[in-house]
Amino acid sequence: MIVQENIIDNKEIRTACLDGIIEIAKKDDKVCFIDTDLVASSGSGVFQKAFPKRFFNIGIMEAEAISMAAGLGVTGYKCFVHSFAPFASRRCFDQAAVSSAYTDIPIVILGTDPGITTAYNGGTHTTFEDIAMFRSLSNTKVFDICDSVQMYAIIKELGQNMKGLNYVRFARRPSRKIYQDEMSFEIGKGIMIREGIDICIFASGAMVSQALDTADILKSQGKSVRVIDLFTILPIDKDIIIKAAKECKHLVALDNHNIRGGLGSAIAEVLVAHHPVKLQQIGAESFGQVATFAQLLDIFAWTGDKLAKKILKAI
Amino acid sequence: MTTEKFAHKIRYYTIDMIIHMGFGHIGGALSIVDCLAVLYAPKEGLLKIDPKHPRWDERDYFVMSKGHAGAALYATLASRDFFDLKILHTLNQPGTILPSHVDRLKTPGVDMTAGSLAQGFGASVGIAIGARLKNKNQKVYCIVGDGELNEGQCWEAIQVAAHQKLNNLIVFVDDNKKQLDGISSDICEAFDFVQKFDAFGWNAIRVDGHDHQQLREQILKAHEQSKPTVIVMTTIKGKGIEFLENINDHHLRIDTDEKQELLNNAKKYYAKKAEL
Repeated sequence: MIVQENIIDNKEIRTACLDGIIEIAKKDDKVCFIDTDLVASSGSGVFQKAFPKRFFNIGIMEAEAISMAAGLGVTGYKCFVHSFAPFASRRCFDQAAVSSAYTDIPIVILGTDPGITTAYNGGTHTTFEDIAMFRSLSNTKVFDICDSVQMYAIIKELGQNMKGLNYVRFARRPSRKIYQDEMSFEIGKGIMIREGIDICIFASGAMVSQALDTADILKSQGKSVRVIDLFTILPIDKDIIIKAAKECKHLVALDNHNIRGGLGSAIAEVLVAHHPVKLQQIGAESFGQVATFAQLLDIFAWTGDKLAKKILKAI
Repeated sequence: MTTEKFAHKIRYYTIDMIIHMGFGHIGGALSIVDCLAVLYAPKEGLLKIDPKHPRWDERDYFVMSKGHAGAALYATLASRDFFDLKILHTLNQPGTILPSHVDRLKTPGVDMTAGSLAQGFGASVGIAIGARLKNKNQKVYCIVGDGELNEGQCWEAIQVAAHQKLNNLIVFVDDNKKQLDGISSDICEAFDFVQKFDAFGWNAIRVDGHDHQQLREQILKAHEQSKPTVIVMTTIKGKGIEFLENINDHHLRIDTDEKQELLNNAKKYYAKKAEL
């Protein structure tokens, strides 16, 4: 069984991220980490302690962090760069596009607390645009991570085989542990974590947990619900989407992102080209605001019961 | 070959490329020719490079942050046999390895892609850090435009370089005092670059950007520094072609017989000077 039932993830996703990076850096002396005055937030101090020469806290300079990472790339180094998701995307998009993706210099950008996981940091920090931005770039991969097990696996894979631009968005602190420890992940392949044929819910990152809650409620009402974690948003897993479109009666995409350009848009593009069916897109259609994560789920109507109602209404 | 003679050669090929293309960023290319000559001249040039192995692991790095001045760099690299001189006539043509803005994936000898201004400067800071990590005493040279210093990211790079004490980084400001829309001080007054860099913790000096001896001396002095060096070059946009030195034409278009003739004369002049 892949999914654990309502188990709190004792390991923070950021800790799993750093564990993975340190693991790689032990074997590869070309791995560096650049933080942007957010060491306390990312937890990157452990990298600093382990590899002080390969660690750089450059201050509040996201654009320069990316260009500097590209420069290090010219000399053969491979950088992980961290900032909060809005600054790791909106603030330095041109640098990521030109100095990394276009120039084919491998970099991993870690964007923490995307979408409503930003909670008390409020609307200025709520990133509902990052997937759309990075998804539009060539030579780029985009990930939305849901728990510590997935984070560790993906970071290790990316670090060992770093190519082009990689954008990884994740909440620093998880809601619950979705995957068992031995779970393996393949970049570009989605994971069916619940089987079903009445409804298929696609989700990624923080919304995977919401999708599972919703599936539980719908199941109690007699619906068989498939849940698919599309943690790689670029490249998207076409096969799993087309298969679901052929087998399930109703498709839903959950986005912790603006519905324009996010996961739902990525799925819609596949459907239009390969198997045109209706897709219910649920996501943000406004900017964010200040509240706890739980309150924001309620405000945006992304709790299991509100989502279940919305889906049943659409069927 | 003296650096002066090499500069004539670069000017000849730069003019030749622009005449062949019919338009291009010739003014901003010609203003940095002397700096390129001091760095790249065979034997007398200061760069540690191997044209047969452009990605030689122990080379010095060069970043043309004002990426639109690619023509001057291409003329320089071809003159040093990084690629065939015949390729220069493909400048800006479809499928060329010599795009209007420098691209490390396309041109042998180009260390960093630039064209989105400030990013080359920003990357040269990372290159300098990488070179230091490798511990091979490699220098990193970067040419940035005075107009380019409008960009906020440049000042981010300047701060990081100073904090990291990157004494292997030498940045040249091409202070030709003109940018796309005209006189730079009319657009956004830059005040004194030497004072500004100095205040940011750099070793900062101003030289005549067309005086090879001054350039060479200051580069060698920079090698002895414990902090990054900026060499602010007072330059003339279009240097070496009289009519170009007096106009504000960022993208020169050769659209009259008169311009064509003046450029042809200049080309002949530099061919003779370079003994081509």
